[in-house]
Amino acid sequence: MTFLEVRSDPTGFPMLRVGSFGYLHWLPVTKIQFEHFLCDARDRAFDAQWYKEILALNPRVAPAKISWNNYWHALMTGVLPAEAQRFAFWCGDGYRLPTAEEWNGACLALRNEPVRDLHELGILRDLSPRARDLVIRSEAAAELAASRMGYERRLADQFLMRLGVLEWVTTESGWQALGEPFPSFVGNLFAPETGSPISPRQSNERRLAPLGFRLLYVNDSKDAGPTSEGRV
Amino acid sequence: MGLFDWLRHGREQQNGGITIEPPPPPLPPPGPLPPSLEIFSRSGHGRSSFLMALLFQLRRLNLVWPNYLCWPQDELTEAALKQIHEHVHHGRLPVSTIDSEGTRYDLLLQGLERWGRRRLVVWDRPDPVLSQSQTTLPQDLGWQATACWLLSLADLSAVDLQILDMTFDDLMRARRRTGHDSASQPLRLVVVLTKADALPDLPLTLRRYLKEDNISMALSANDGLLAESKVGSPLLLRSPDALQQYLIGLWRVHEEIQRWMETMLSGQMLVHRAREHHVELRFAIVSATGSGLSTEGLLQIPWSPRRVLDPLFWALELDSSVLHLRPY
Repeated sequence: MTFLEVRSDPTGFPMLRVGSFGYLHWLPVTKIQFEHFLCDARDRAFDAQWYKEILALNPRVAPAKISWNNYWHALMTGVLPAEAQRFAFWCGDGYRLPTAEEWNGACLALRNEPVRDLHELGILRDLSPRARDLVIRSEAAAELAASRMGYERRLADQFLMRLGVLEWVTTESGWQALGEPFPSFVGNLFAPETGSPISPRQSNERRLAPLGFRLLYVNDSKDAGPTSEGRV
Repeated sequence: MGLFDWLRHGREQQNGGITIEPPPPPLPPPGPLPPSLEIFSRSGHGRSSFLMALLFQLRRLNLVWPNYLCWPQDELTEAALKQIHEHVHHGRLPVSTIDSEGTRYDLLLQGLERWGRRRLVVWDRPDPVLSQSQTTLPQDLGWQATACWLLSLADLSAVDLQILDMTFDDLMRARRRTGHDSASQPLRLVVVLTKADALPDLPLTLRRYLKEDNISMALSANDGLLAESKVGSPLLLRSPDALQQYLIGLWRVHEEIQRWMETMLSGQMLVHRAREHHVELRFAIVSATGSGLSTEGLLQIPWSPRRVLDPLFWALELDSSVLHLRPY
């Protein structure tokens, strides 16, 4: 029997320890999480106009209205790698974007695990009502989306590592992306299971609607947020 | 008295024994070759992208066929091919051809394994039958050629999806109007589902077929013959046996698409109507770009065409009167 530790990031969203890789966000970073940062950040760059531009690429959806054909609207996309890094810095020591190897390794490990109950996992514990609503509805929506695609769901699919967004990862060649978005979000034939990341052109300059991210927490210090244990 | 004699004498008697010989019809002026592949497509269904991807891959096929050669037959084609290479390299998407006169590609393909040496003449121009453009039917519309009907299901409205069979009838009517009898000159038609990367309801087997296109991956690679090691398995098509195996797979994919299309009422009616019209119908599925990740006319990741050679293989196979595909 495997046990995974669950912890919360500074916005209260769940992260799970995946093998030796550290804690990985349960979902790609959502708009609700990023809005915590926007309220707190003093950077002039992240102003209302900046967010308006982001929302034009991938509009917002209220957690109560999440469904199989719009759940990606809840996720924070259109960000440049440097902006994702800025969010990670704001989260605190130990938070960073995963490398392609880490992302692939975690995805492989989670693909070997069956789908789990969210309550049993313990990820719903201590969530705010809004975050809880988002996590539960995203799970239901992604399950329907996977069913339309004919995919057999695994734990990696619950993490939205498939049918989520394209996620920024660091590689020796610079910023690349991994994942397989739902085709209605962006048409694609990406195969993250092959482990080959894709290389968007002008990754540091051009905003792309399906490009999001998630964080890895690798610092073992206990002061970055509460932890609990859930059975996996 | 033969039929033609009886007709001639009968006409002479009706005219009081006076023979009225109509002047012989003028010989048609020597013109360009008619298309050997005629593309039909509504605007916005991916014709230009498909042709770009197809021609780009046709230029590189000697990676899988060592004796293969492909060269343009006129300067316009050569210039157009150079432009395609430029576009693919820079990730540019083609501009709409709705208001243009179109581009004619004339290529000689040699060493096409079982199909030998073929001239490929194909137009990228607004479709005179299915598109909403006001163009008149071009004189050189290749009704004798195998027709490719490019169909992007993702771009069809709910109503258009319900009247697919009627759209097919439009095509058949236009052909009949030009004197082509569907019984004595059956249409060879490849229905090509385009932009397949954008179809969420695509059966998993077909999605996998598109994802696992080793030939495209090899042809897209820039490392020449190293491509074989890059795709991790021996390249298909290297031998006649390998090509035969590929065509067997092509047949199975055709059947799989047909089964899927028949789950829609209009798809079912289309197949039935095609049978009624004696159409030799085949289905293929492609993604010319491999993804929809683009902004401002630029693909944001490299072109990654999938299975764009399949429609051409079907056209060559349907044109071939010597060899017939025996799938099982």
